[in-house]
Amino acid sequence: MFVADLLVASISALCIVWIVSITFGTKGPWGNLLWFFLVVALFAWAAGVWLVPFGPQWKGVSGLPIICMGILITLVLVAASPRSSGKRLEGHEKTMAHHENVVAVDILVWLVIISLVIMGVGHYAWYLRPN
Amino acid sequence: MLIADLVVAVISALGIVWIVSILFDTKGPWGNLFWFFLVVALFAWGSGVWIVPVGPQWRGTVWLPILCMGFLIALLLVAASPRKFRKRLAPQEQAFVDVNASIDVFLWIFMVCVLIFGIGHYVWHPQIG
Repeated sequence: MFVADLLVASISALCIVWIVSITFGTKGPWGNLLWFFLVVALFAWAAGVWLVPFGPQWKGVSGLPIICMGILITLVLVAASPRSSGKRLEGHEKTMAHHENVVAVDILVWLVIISLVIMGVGHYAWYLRPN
Repeated sequence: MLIADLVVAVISALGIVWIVSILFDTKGPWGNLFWFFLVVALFAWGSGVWIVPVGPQWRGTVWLPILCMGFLIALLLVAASPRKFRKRLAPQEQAFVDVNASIDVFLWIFMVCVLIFGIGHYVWHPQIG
């Protein structure tokens, strides 16, 4: 179970981080894909195994909660990361930024917020609905 | 239930963000405490309600999972944020600094917490999933 959980988390994190890094032109908040992958995989596994099991199973592992947590944490980290496609503070603007490397509040932050609201509301709508 | 869950998430996020911002001297990745609080509160609620119910209850709400998720996401966002007591640079050097967060003790603290959280599932709650 433990190994299967970790395997699902690692494979999904690998795919998610790969797709996201290409799509958004980012290497995560630490500027390194290995750390980005490691954090996503660990979080997807640790939080995913605690979620109520839903969706199809593989070797006794409910993969969907792990994948959902992986996608969610990747979204949060991308929203908190510098992106080549996103708004950056350049050159002299950085100097004026009072030594704070802040990331712009852009469309991705809203995407994170909307995803989290859907996830939360979905719990009441889909999971707690009596059969 | 929804209201009680939200209240728990908002109060926990307020407490966590307040403590964390003072302790680590940060306003989160977006340089704004409001956005930091909003993401922590929503994440704590959105993922906390999906976690298997463990721990004590308040008005039918199992608050421990919400609190744990709030703590974990706040820790992760701190690890991904610029903090003031890091290596300081003169203004002319600042212009050449890239905007990545550094891999430091906060990332390791987050990793250890996540590991304990994950392994704890098999140790304390093996009958689930």
